[in-house]
Amino acid sequence: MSFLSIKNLHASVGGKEILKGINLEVGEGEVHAIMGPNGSGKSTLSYVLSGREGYDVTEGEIVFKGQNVLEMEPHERAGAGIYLAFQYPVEIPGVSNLTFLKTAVNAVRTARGQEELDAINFLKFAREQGNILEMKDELLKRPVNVGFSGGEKKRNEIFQMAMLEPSLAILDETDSGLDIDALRIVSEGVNKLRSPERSMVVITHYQRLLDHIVPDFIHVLADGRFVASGGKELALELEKEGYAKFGIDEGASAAA
Amino acid sequence: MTTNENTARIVDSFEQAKNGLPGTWLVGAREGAIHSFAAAGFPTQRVESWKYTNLNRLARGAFDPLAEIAAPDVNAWCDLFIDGCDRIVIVNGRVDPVHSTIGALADGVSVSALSDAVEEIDPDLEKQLGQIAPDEGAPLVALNTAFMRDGLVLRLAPGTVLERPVQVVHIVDSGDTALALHPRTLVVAGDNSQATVVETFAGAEGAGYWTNAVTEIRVGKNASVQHLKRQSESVAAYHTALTQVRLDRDARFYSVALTVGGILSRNEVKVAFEGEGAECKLAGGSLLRGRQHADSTTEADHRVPNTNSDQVFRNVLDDNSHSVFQGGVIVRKDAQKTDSSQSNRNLLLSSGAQADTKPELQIFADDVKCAHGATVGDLDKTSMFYLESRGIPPKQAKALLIEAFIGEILEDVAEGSARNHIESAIANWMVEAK
Ligand SMILES: Nc1ncnc2c1ncn2[C@@H]1O[C@H](COP(=O)(O)OP(=O)(O)O)[C@@H](O)[C@H]1O
Ligand SMILES: [Mg+2]
Repeated sequence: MSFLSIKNLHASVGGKEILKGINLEVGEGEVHAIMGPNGSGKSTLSYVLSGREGYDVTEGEIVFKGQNVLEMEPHERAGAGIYLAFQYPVEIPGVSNLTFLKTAVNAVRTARGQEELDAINFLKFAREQGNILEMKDELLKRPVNVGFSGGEKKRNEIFQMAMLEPSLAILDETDSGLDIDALRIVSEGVNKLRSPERSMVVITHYQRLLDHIVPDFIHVLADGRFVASGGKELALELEKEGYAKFGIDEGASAAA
Repeated sequence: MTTNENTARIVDSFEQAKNGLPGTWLVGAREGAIHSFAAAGFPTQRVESWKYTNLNRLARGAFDPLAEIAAPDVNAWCDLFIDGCDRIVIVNGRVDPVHSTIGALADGVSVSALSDAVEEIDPDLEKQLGQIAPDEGAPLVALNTAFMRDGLVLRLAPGTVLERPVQVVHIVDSGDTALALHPRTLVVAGDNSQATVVETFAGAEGAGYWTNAVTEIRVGKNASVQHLKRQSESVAAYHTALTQVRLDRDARFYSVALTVGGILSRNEVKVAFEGEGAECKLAGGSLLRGRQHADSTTEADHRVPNTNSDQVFRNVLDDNSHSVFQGGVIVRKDAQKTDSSQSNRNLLLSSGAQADTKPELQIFADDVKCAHGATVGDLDKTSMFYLESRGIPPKQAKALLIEAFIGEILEDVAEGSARNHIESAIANWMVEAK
């Protein structure tokens, strides 16, 4: 049984078809990178995997650990172990990061048949994970993502991932908007979370992230389809020759 | 009964009641008040400030201002009592001496029940009571003056600080008798004094009655008063209330009024700036469901230069409920350098809910800042998805967002038992949220 299996996935947004037949097999513990120009459908794929309203699957299937993902609500998918690090993390005024995380951690623990963490153990766990990502204590107390810099928001996404202990993590352009230092902290955080039981789908526009998080496989997405798949050497080719090698006109695609 | 017949009935019942009401020196004021109520009648929607709130059913309701109902088991209401504060408990309109507790107070601080205070010879009280909230042009205030029996009187001499909050708890549990209650609270904070006052209104589940409350607050020079109000009346009750405030030079007034109870309620807060450098923050709002109607009406009357007012109102509406916000700001000709702001946001949880919001700015000075904004919207889908994608079930995600939304009215209230008292009204409402 494969871990994550996506077959002939078609999805539309607002009646417009964005994903046009995606096939992807991710084995347990594997790290797959998805690269592609702006507008090629990378975020759409991440939202379809996590169940966002308005992203309609018109054809195909997604099976994760034997479960039909398309029949599950977003929170059930999270409970089952799917985690999405958002390209644009959402600000939630009035809800403190810690309250939010405690609610989330205990919700997924309950869904997984684990005991809830009490306040003391939760805080201990949060501090441990926060330290790895160099999250200032103050960021834990503030409302979710409100007043965070771009880099702090991305770090918060990985921090949440560490807290929620997913078995499939989808990182949507976690590298965009990060300076070199922040990129290093975030990548080290992600690498610490790599394990034989945890698969990752790393979405990126640039290959620089893949110097830090080295994938097992790379797929190139263009206009809603994978146009190339291979090992990590594919990223180097892309860097040297650009997306044009794959017949992609980046300017036209971005404008679409 | 028509409205006119009912007004006549109310005047009759005053004639029966007047000799039994506390404070013989008040008889003249009470008689004048009942006349002005009789002449004006209940406010109608033709009056601009009552445009969105229809009192017809209330005006025809046979509420009884006289009945003395034996006190129910007050222990059942103890969770309304704020820990560690002095408190006056009023049950079915009459002070309950057993549950009222006043600890040792600093010199110069006095806390008493209105019915006790008006039986003393007290020239200061005669000068204060009814002076901050006059009867003229306010029929419901006049009616309150005519019938007022109990409430809180809090007085602070200059320079005194109230260490603990003072709470006045109004409980209505009167079986089948539909009572009319006219509580009056008076707070006089002398120069440089400080106090926190909490008013709590609650009633037996499903009980039909009418509370018509008046609260008068005078804040002296450089004094500071925080006023918290929790309106958790029965959802079959009517609640009309006016809090009227006068601010002297450099005085500060912070208020939060939360409405969760009442089938129809009106909470009006009027602040007059009478000394330069004074500031106020008026916060409030409601959590409503069913067919509840809640009206928040404010007036910040800037009469002198260099004063600030800030208004923050939030309403959460489910089912077919209806909220009203009329945010009044007056900047008089001489009130240069006024800085006023106002924000009203409304969260609709159902397509049958309705929020009316109307800023009313009357500005007669030119060198002033007056900001205002209002929104009406539903739960943010992106925020919901973000929370759900972290494993939080939709109902819990919604609760987090609602509590954050309404929580903005408590922004300036320090942690502590008084704040917890307001938060627990929010939490109780959330328990039944869909
Ligand atoms: N909410 C939406 N409504 C309409 N079109 C959308 C929406 N979201 C994405 N799209 C369109 O879908 C396409 C793919 O977008 P996206 O998945 O965000 O691409 P990527 O993440 O690869 O940059 C683009 O053409 C974009 O304009
Ligand atoms: Mg994207």
